[in-house]
Amino acid sequence: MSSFAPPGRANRTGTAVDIDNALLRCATGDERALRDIYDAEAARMIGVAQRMLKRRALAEEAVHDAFVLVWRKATSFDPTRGSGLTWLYTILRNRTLNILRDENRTELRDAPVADEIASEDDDPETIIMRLSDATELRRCLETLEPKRRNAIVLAYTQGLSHSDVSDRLAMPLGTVKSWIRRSLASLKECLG
Amino acid sequence: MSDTTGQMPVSDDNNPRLIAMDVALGLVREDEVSATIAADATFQTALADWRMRLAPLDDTATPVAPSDALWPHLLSSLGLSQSSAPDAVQSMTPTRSQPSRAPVRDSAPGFLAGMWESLTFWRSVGFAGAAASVALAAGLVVMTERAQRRPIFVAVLVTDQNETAAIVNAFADGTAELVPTRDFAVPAGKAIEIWTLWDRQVGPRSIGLIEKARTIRLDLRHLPKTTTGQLFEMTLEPATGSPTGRPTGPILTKGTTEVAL
Repeated sequence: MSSFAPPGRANRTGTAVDIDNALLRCATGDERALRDIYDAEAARMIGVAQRMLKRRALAEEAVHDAFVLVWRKATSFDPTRGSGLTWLYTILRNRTLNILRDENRTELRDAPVADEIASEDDDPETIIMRLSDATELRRCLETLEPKRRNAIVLAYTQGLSHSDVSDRLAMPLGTVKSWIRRSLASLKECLG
Repeated sequence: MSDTTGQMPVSDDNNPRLIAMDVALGLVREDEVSATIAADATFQTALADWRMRLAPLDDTATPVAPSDALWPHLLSSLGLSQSSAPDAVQSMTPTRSQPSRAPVRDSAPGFLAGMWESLTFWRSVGFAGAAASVALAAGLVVMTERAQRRPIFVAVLVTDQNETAAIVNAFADGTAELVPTRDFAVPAGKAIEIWTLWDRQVGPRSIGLIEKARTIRLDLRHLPKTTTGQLFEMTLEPATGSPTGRPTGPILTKGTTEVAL
């Protein structure tokens, strides 16, 4: 099943972009296909990266790097194994996580920038409210207790590590791992 | 407790399904997972399933319009032509048909220097994408410990009252640091963004963002090696940095590099 591009995910002429198809075209060296993906997704990708990295310039760097990887790895995209959109955002998220962990490790600072700048975009309850009705994720997250669903959303959207979650929830590091796994297991039970 | 087939019992620590949860959430990086788990088909399937379940969360991010520089930067990194670029973008990226290189500066030894030479995409043509993609795929820039290092270039940043407010030290291994010597009053919701400029055609590039004056390492990974006469400046910007990719706020302090004797 190809990934249908929801409204708003269009190229410059306003045509909805089928990401699976565009990736297959990228694999043949079609530069316009990369441009189509960029037009449809770059802004959202910067938003996703910025939720983790906070700094706008760093978020654009992550998106730049992701597109380079997309172009170079396009031949390895297999539409029978999953959606192109998820493939694209996995590449972005992996790259963003690497940058985030590097930044936190190499900066001469006492606390990462990410902790210092909060915005409404970061609030887990707001994020859950924005989830589309087209998937069951919102309904199933809402079956979890607030602390559990918020931890899942925070971890995913902000690129937190186990120790970050442990700090934020004032929960011992030893119990955080299994606590999150149990939360996800409940989520999976609901999602089926 | 082992089972009768003699295989290693699956505990929580090596359970591929559970580790897949950690990776899909981003708590653990995919490249931090052991080779055994990574190769496990159960792990791969579980990871793909979890990513699909959680993917709608990415749709909740507020889109942020890319700065004008991003697409040309990307084209240049990939060595692609301008044919797929929008009309409004000024043509700074030469096409593949003329593979002449701009003058190459003396190379310093080391992985970082080598990566920067191949990433001077604004100056060179026939850019060797392969080297950059390996570096990007590796995903890591190794920042060496400072130990006893002396800078090779120094910039003294002064205010418009000609008072020294910060020093930039650029080291031979390609790293640099900003050392403020004066405090700045930073209003709530704002931050200090640090820029460098080496070529007016390229324009200023953001290399750091701090919420108050303090010493930090500067992020020069994707830039050409620092030279003499290179401008560094600090401007006041919104808390998450300039929304345009160029300085928008007042210049707090600036200065150009000189060779450290």
